[in-house]
Amino acid sequence: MDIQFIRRLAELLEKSSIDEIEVVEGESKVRITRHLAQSFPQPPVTYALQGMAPVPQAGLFPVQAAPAAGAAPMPAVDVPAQPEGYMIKSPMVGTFYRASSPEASPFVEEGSVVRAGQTLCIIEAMKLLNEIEADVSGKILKILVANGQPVEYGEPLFIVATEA
Amino acid sequence: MFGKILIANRGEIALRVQRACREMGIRTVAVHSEPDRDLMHVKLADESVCIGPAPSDQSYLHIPAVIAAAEVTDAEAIHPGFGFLSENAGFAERVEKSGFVFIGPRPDTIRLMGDKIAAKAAMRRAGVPCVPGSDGALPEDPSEIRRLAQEIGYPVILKAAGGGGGRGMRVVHTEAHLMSAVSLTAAEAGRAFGNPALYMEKFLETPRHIEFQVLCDGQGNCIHLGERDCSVQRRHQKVIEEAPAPGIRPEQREAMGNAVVRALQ
Repeated sequence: MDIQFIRRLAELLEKSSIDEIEVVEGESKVRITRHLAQSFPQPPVTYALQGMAPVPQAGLFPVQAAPAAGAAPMPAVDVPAQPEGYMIKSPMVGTFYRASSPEASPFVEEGSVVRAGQTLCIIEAMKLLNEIEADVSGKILKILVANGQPVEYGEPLFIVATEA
Repeated sequence: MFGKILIANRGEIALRVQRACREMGIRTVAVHSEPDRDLMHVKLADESVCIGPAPSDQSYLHIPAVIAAAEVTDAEAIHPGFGFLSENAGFAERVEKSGFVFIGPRPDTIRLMGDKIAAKAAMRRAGVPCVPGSDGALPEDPSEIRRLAQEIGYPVILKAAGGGGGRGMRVVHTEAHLMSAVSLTAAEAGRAFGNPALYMEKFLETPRHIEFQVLCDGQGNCIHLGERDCSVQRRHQKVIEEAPAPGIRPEQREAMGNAVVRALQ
């Protein structure tokens, strides 16, 4: 199982009214639980993925083949639900940088208040550094990618709590 | 041999190239537009990168996105497939300038063959028999154009120098329709290919469309792999190709095959 798959499961959980999801694939198992203020004990919903061949899967983070028999099942991963807000997505393919140069300080941090048009980050491609601007005003709730990480078109970069 | 190749295409050709890569132990990178995320060529590749929204000109045809995808995945070479950017000399050049190998012809060769007038002239110089025609772009003077058509003999066909793939052609059966056909075809060519230049040829009314497959190794060695009959078409797009072509005698095959091999050498 790979990070993309787990991330998508977490999104699925967040968007639905399910509180816990457990996926078993061969020898691997992942369980994702949403932390609620008052949790009513509920039986976890188990989905077994039938007949998934160990084919390499897509994604910028390539899949590792399912662990061989005898390996311990994957530990349950508790992923807190993503904060609600406006998602700023990458308008291009490239490498994400938090600052204009390695010595400079990042353009924004989690908690920064930004105006529409303000530069949030750099995406570098073909030796050109492109400044990516906020298309809304608000407060940065979460920065979703790491400095130096490759990003694809449409990849979520920031979650912003917009004003009004 | 390359360790990793980015395939700048989708669908059947992307899958075919992936299959070849897998046989050769080469890792593959697929690119896709947003709605194409679940296509088979994406799922079967070792890595994938979303390069843009649905419209082709913002994704599969968007050169910076394709090259950036090769950068972030550390691909060594880019295979363009067919269609899309495969016959775009500018793309081939930018791929090479960015430090990747373009799996295809040199940019100059793409340019030469993309300009049909220059391509025909090159073939004639190489001794390949060609359809009688205007020997270059149409003259400016209408009376010259009319004289040319008379010499070639109606019906004639007007073709765009920048055309190809079955587009940019118009047949003229009588002199009365000639000049309006010329201005129409030139205007269409300007809009579709950015090049209004035309040339004229005798129109063959019941031809057979035979193609020879030639393989060259970049070291001066060249062979032909026989011919295919591509006559079955709808709106100038091939529907099915048949090999060997029915009714081609061995001596015809050899004569035509040798002519094209010499030309490409």
